[in-house]
Amino acid sequence: MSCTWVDEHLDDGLDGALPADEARRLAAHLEDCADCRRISEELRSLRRRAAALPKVLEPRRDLWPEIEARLPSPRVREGRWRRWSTSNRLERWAAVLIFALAGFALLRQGSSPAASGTDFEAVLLGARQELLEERMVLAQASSLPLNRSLVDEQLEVLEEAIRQIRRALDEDPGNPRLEQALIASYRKQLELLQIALRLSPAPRDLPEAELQRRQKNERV
Amino acid sequence: MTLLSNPVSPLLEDSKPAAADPALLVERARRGDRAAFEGLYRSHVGRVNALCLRLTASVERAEELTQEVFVRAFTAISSFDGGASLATWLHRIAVNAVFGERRSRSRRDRHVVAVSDLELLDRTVPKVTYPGSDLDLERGIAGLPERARTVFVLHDVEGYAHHEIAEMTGMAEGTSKAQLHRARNLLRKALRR
Repeated sequence: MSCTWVDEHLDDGLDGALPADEARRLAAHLEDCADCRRISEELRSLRRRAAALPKVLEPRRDLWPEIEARLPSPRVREGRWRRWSTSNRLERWAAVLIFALAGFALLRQGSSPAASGTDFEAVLLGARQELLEERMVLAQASSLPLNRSLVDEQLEVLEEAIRQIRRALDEDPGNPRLEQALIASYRKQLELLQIALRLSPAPRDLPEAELQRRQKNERV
Repeated sequence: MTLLSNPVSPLLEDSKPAAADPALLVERARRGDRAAFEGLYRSHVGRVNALCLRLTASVERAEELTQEVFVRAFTAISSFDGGASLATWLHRIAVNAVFGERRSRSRRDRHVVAVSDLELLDRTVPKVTYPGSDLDLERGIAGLPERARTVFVLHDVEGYAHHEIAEMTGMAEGTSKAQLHRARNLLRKALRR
């Protein structure tokens, strides 16, 4: 065994990271080589001294006032949380709408008119419930800028249009023009929601774990 | 909890800086309780400052970075899952902050001089004074090249394993071992003089 090998493996040997056979070879070399033994003892001493250094070194002054001044205010954090929560719900509602539109297209391809109407009704009902819940949230989030209110007004108008189209479909079920108009209305609603999402971006400094934790809280 | 309920203000009413149970302080801090976070600050600032001081070898930079660490920690406290100790979690933030500050400084200071390791040790004038008895070692650490200093402080002073250092610093585990070897040899020779 050469001193070069010892030099390369002495650190691992001192840290207890060598396999047993190599540790034995290292120990045997150190018994016979005075130079390597001296280096080994110097390194042991260095490790002891380093480990004994104080782990706590207080700053020269109290840093808390400066730290506290830089912390986001509770109102700002709350606003960010509200905007995050609102935008997260908007994203989910938009996903439900996309699903509803895709589901309707699939149902129309293969099913009987009666069955497709019933299934589509259930999907749309779920989407509409989500929309109503989300609109309530938007209305009560007073920190939102005025143009979000404008989007909300447009959503209300579309909602009324959708109600009228659905009443017409009740009287004339399966009417392709009415169905197309209904789809177009829902697409327009989706566009408006996407605009609303762009107006309320999710805070970029929230880590993924925090997003998941707050999502979990929302379901409680 | 409804979306529109205020998750913050009711919990601020019972706030006081406290030497309370650390787990309780963390839980309160997660909910935005600044007094609880101040309690965490007071119990950990010395450890964070010690790491920043040894990594930067500058009192002023260490104090700026220590502030930065706690500001970041306040924002990210909700992501602390208790898997590691709070001190370790704060140390990770500190290492990130130090590395970020180094990158900013290296972009500003583009003058590079190629010197040998021993010349670096001889020319560096540590700007710190430390309490405690082993000033020679502290000065030696302050004089190490940055990466070697980082690994030596994290491994031999703070007790982190190489795989933890690799995770904290983004360097490979083999690189961490090589830098430790370099640091120990430099210090060993410097302390012999």
